[in-house]
Amino acid sequence: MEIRRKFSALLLLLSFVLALLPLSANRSFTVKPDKLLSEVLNEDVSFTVDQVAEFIVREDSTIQLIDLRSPEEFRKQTIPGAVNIPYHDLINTDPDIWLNNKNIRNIFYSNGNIEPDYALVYARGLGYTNSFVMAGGMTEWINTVIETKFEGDRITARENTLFEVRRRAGEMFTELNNLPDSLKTRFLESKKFSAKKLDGGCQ
Amino acid sequence: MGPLSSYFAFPDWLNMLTAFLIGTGFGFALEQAGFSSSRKLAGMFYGYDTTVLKVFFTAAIVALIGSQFLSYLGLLNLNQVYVNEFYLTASITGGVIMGAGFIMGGFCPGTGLSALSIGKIDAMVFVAGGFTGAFIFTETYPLIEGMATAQYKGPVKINESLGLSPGLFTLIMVAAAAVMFRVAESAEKKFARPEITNELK
Amino acid sequence: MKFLKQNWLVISIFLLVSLLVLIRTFSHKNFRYDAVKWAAPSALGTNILTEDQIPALSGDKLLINLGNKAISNQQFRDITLDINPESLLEKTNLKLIRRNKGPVILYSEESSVSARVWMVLSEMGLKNIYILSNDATINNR
Repeated sequence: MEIRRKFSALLLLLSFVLALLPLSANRSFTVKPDKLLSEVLNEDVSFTVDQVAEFIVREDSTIQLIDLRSPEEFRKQTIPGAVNIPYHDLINTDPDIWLNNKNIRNIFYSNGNIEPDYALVYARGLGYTNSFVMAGGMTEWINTVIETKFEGDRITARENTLFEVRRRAGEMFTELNNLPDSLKTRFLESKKFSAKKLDGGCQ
Repeated sequence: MGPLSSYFAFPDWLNMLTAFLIGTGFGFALEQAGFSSSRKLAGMFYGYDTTVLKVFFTAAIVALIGSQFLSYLGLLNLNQVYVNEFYLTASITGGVIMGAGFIMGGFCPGTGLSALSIGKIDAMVFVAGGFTGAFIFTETYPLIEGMATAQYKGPVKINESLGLSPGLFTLIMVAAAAVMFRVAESAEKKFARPEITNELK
Repeated sequence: MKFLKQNWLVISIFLLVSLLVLIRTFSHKNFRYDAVKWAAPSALGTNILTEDQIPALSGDKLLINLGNKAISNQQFRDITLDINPESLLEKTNLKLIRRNKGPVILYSEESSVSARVWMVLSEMGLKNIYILSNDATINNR
């Protein structure tokens, strides 16, 4: 009897505390601030557009490009292999369904830099160390890869490889974005993330 | 260990071992609470023994409070905890069928297995019946699919549909439990039957 | 006294849990609870300012230059502090930011740096923090 009363009292007290807390379904950062700050200020978290172009040309399956722009901008023009997760959705939904594969490096990009940088800190703060950005975004991609031109008479071997990669990536880019709307939508839909539903219970 | 393994990397064998230990612990808890006796379980319906209500509800409340605190302190990712999908028609129909079976058989699936493990013959029949039911369900699924998937509400949580914060909901649950236990105990006095625990194996 | 002795276990568990909760809620060195809430201004864009919006703000404005290039506008030079982003979370610097009774505006010639620092500071529970936009990037998010 005594134990029961004490135990009930304890449970009641604890639930009073809970009732006062601003509980929410949202997660919190698990990394320590100074560690996170030095992580995101490091240049390792950034890929250049040339590195991304190479990933695309090589069809590297360990990377996943994530386009943070709106669905309309995504449909108009996007980098081959990218999936569309508007920044607003990334923040307001538990990103675990998109980011939880530890073997895949997720590379965020947008038109410029700001949203990918937010997303980078946010994802890494939640513990997803497999998060990166593509520096410069679409603007840089168009400037460097698509409109690439080499000046001068002679071209070194290294420059030549770079040029070839850019050219091939540019081809893939133009091919994708010039598809007629119906085909393009179908292609992009097939690449969509299938939200992984946790299986459990007796189904 | 799903929700905790977002923060610590657990090897697979540890996950399996933990599941095994938790399952064993659960079975042990059921058995030592006396739930291997079908008389004790049926007593919940007839009113003379409300142990089932108290044990299971207390377990639910402790889990509720514990998981909320762990989530607040950042040790548990509650978003990864599975929430059952709610199909209204199926819940009601299945609930009625299961309730009838519970009273007639005196076991529910979990307690049936824990009674089976101590060699009770009625539990063996009960579990066999359970498997038969599952078999029939699977074989006739195309016929009942419509009803089984009707009125799908998604993985809803009560506090969300009531618009309450999880903490407040917890407090209400604990208060409700206290009231329910009082009522249950007065019911026990009212519907008392001759002492049966001496007959329990 | 007798009450305490009889119920020492209940009281100590309750105090322990309350202590942990208080530490988690008010700890200044850690990130705050509920990451979505503190990231919200970034999704709405309300945390970005242009130079002409600064004078309109109320309170003691503090500009933090995280980059190497000094800010061009003369009128802001007086309220600017040059801080290396790597040492931003050091006690003295953090105290300066927290104690400021007004908006704190982050600036860097590389917009990436200010954006990343903003997110870290906001998640630590600091309100009233903004990013000064380099005009090229404000429309090109």
